[in-house]
Amino acid sequence: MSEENTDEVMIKKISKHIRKKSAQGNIVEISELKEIDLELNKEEIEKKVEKLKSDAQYSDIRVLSGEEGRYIFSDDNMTKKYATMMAKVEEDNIKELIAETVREDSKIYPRPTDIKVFKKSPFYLEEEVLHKVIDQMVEENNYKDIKKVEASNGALYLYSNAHMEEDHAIGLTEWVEVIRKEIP
Amino acid sequence: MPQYKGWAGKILRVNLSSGSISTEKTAKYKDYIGGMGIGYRIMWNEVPENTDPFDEENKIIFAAGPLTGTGAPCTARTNITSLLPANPQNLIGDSHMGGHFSPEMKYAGYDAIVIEGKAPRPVWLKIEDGNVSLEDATKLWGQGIFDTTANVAGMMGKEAQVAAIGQAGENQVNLSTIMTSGNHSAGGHGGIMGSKNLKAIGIIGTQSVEYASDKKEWIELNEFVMSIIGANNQHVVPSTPQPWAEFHDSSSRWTAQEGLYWGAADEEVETGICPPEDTNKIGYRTMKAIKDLGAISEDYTVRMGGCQSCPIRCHSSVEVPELEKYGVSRYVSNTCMGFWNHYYVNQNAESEMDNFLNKTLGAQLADDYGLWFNYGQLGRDLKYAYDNGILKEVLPAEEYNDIPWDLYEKGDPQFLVDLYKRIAYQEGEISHLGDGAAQLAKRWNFGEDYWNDQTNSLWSPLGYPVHHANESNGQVGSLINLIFNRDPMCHSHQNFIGSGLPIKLQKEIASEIWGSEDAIDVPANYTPMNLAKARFAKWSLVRNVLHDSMTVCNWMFPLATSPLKERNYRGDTTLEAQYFSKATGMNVSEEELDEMGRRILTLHRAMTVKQMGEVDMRNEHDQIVDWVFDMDPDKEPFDPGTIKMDRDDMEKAKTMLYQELGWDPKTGAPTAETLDELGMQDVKRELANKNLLPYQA
Repeated sequence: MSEENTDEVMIKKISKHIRKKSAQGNIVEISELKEIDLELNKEEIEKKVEKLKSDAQYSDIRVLSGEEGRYIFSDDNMTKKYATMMAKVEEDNIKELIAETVREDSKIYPRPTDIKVFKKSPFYLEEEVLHKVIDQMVEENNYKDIKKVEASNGALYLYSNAHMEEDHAIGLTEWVEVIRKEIP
Repeated sequence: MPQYKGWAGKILRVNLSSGSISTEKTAKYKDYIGGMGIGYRIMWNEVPENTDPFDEENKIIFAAGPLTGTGAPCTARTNITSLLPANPQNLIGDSHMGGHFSPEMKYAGYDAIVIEGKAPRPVWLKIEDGNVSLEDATKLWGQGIFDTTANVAGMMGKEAQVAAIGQAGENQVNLSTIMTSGNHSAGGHGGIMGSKNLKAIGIIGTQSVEYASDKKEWIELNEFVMSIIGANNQHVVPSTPQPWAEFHDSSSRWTAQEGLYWGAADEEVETGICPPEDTNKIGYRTMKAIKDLGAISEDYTVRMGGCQSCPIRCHSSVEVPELEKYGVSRYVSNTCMGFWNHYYVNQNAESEMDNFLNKTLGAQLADDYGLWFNYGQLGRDLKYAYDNGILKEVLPAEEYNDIPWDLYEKGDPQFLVDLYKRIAYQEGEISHLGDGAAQLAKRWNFGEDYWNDQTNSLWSPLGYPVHHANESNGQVGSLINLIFNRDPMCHSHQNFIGSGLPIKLQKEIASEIWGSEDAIDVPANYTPMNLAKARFAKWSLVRNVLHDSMTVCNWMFPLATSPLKERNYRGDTTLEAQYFSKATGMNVSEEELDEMGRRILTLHRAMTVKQMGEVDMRNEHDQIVDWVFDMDPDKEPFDPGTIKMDRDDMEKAKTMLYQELGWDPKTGAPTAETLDELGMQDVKRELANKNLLPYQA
C-alpha cells in the first residue's frame, strides 16, 4: 500500500474512533489518539488531525482547546456546548464549569441554576465537594458575580448578578423551585 | 355526512327514564366538530338554564371528535359535558379523560353518547357496536371503580373499555370523577352519573375509523409529528445537559438521562440519552414518576403508560409493596395531580417515604372511590379549616373526636384511609369537603382571609384554584383562568412557556405566531398588557377548545416548538388544521379551524351568560381574588421578582381579550354581530329574547 493510502486508512480509523466516542457522549483528548496506533507520535497525530480538519468528508470533526489540552469531537453527535462542558469535566475545572453554567443560565434563559444539576450527568459532583467549591467560589474575585439564593423550601440555587438582578433572582428561584412545582 | 370521513356519523341517545335507545346523525353538529363542541351544542339546545346538575332534566354527553381513534398521535381524549355540581351556580363545564374509551366508542360506530333522564334502578350501559342495552347494575352498585371495571369487563370481555363511577359518584358527591382504564379520570361529573343511577358504560367496538386522505400522506404527517414532538407538555429540551442538546432545563419533563431507570421493571430499563431523531425512544423521554413522586420513586417504577396512540407515556406505573398494609393493591398508576392531590391533603408528612406513600395511597383510594379534588383545593380547604379551628366549630363533637387528627398532624398516610371514605360515603359534616370550595366556604362561614391568602391558591370567587394563571406569563395565564366555569385545564400557553428554550428563541417564535415578541415576558419580570398577549391568550383558549373537540391532547398540542436545531426549534402550528383536513376531507386552513374553535368557545360563553341570566361577565364572572394583586407587599406590579398583577392592567387585559374574541369589550358577553358572524343566529335569538345581549339594557 502507498504511503498516501496508509495515511487515508489511518485518518478513517481516527474519524471512526472520534465519532464513536462522541456518540457515547465522550470527547477525545488529542494525545489519546495514540491508542489507535501505538506507532503514532505526537507530530504525526497533529498532522493527521490537520488533514481531518481540512477534508470535507470529515467536516463534522471539531477541535476544541481547553485550559490544559485539546479535544476532538464530532458535531454529528455532540453540540459544541456539550463538548466544551466535557472538556472542563475532563480537566476537573469545576469552578469554571459551574461559573459558565450559571452565567449562561442567568443570561439566556434567564433562570437561576439549581445546584442539583451538578450532581447529575455529566458532572457527577459529590454533595460535599459541590458545596465546598461553591463556598470558595463566592469568596473569589474571579467569581464575584456568582451569588447564592435559596427558595422557601431551602433548595440552593446560584445566579450571576452580571446578568440578573437580585430581586429577580429571588423571585425566579421561588417560581422555579416552589410555585411551578406546586402547580404541576 | 356521507362525503366526510373521520366522524363515525352517529350519536347514540340513551334515555334512562324510558329505556329508549336511538341514534341521530352527527352531521348537524359538524360545525361544532365533536367532543366539547357537540356537548355544548346539545346542552344549549336541550337543557334549560334553571336545571340543577342532579335533576333528571340534566344531560351528560360523552363525546369524541373526528380525529379520535384514527391513530394520529395524542388523539384519544374523551370529553364529557354537563352541568358542574361543584360550581356554586351549577354552570356548564366539561371534563376530560384519556385512556382508550373514546376511540372504542368510535370503533363501535358513535361520535358521542348522550345520557338523558334517570333510570328507576341502577343500570350500566352495554355497547357492542350496534347492540346497545341497559343492564342491571344492582350488584355493581356500591363497588369501587376498580371492581366495577373488572366486573363489566368480566361480563363483556377483556377488550371492553369501561367508564365507571365509584361510591363518590353514587352518593352524588360534587367532587367526584368518572374513570376509565383504571387511572384516567374526568373530574367533576361523577355525581351526574350517580344521580341518573348509571354506574358504568362498557364498550366494545369492532369497526374502524376512516380518514379521507391518501394513506401515504397520512403516514407522512404522523411521521412528521413524531419527528418534532418533544416530551410531556411539549418540553423540547432535556432536564440535564446531553450531547445532542444545545439547551437544557432542570424543570423539563424530558427527564430521560444516563443513570435514571424504570427501577422496578422485570429487567431494569435505563431511560438514557434519547436524541430527538430516535423516535423509537419517545416513550422513554418522560420518566414522570420522579417529577410527581420524587427521586425515591425510581426504584418503584415499573414502566410509563398512557393513552391510545400517544407516544409520550406520561402515566407512571409503580409497584409499592408498602401499600398493602393499608388494604389496597401495591400496583398504582397515575400522573400529575392524580398524585399531587394527596400531598395537599396530607401536607404535614415530613419524610420522603411518607410523602411518597401519601401520594400513591391517595391515588389508589381516590381512583377507586372516584373522588375529585378540584386541582388540589380540597386539601388546602381542609388545612385552612383545621388550622383556623373551624372544624372544631362546625363538626359535632362526637364526629370531631372520632377523626384521627393525630394522624393528620403527622402526615400519616393512614389518615387518607379514614378521610376519603367519609367523603365518598358522605358520612358526617366533614364530608362536605367534597362540596366544592365556594359551597364549603359558605357552609362553614370561611372568612375573607380564606379567599385572600395566597397559600390557599384560590383564583376565582366561583371556587376554583390557580391552574397556570399569573405564574404563567402574567396576564396571559390570568386571562385563561377567567373564562371557564372551573379551572381551565388549558396547557396551550403553559407548554410554550415551559418549553425550556432561551427567552430569545421564545420571543422570536412568539413574534411569528402572535405578532410581537412582547407576547411573552421573562418569567417573574412582567411588563404591562399589550395586544400580542391578548392574541396569545385567545390562541391558547381557542386551541384548547379545539383540542377538546377534535379530540387532541392539550397537554401536548399545539406543537409550537420542537427539539430540532435544524428547524431552529420551530414546531408547526398548522398541524391541527392539517389533521382535521386529512381526516375529514373538509379542507380548512389554520385560521378557518381556529374560527371553528372560536365558535365553540363563544357557545360556552353564551351558555354561561344564559345560565347566569347576566350579561356583565366582566364583573359577575371574570373576577380574580385579591391576593393576586396584593401579594409581595414590598413590590409593585411589574417589578422584577414578583408575579403580582395590577388591577387596572388586568381590566385592560380583559377588554383586549374580549375584543380579540369578538365579545363586547365592556361586558365580555358575545355580541349579536359575533354570533351572526359565527353562524349562531339561533343562539343570538334566544339571548335576545331573554334580554341577554350586550347593549340591550
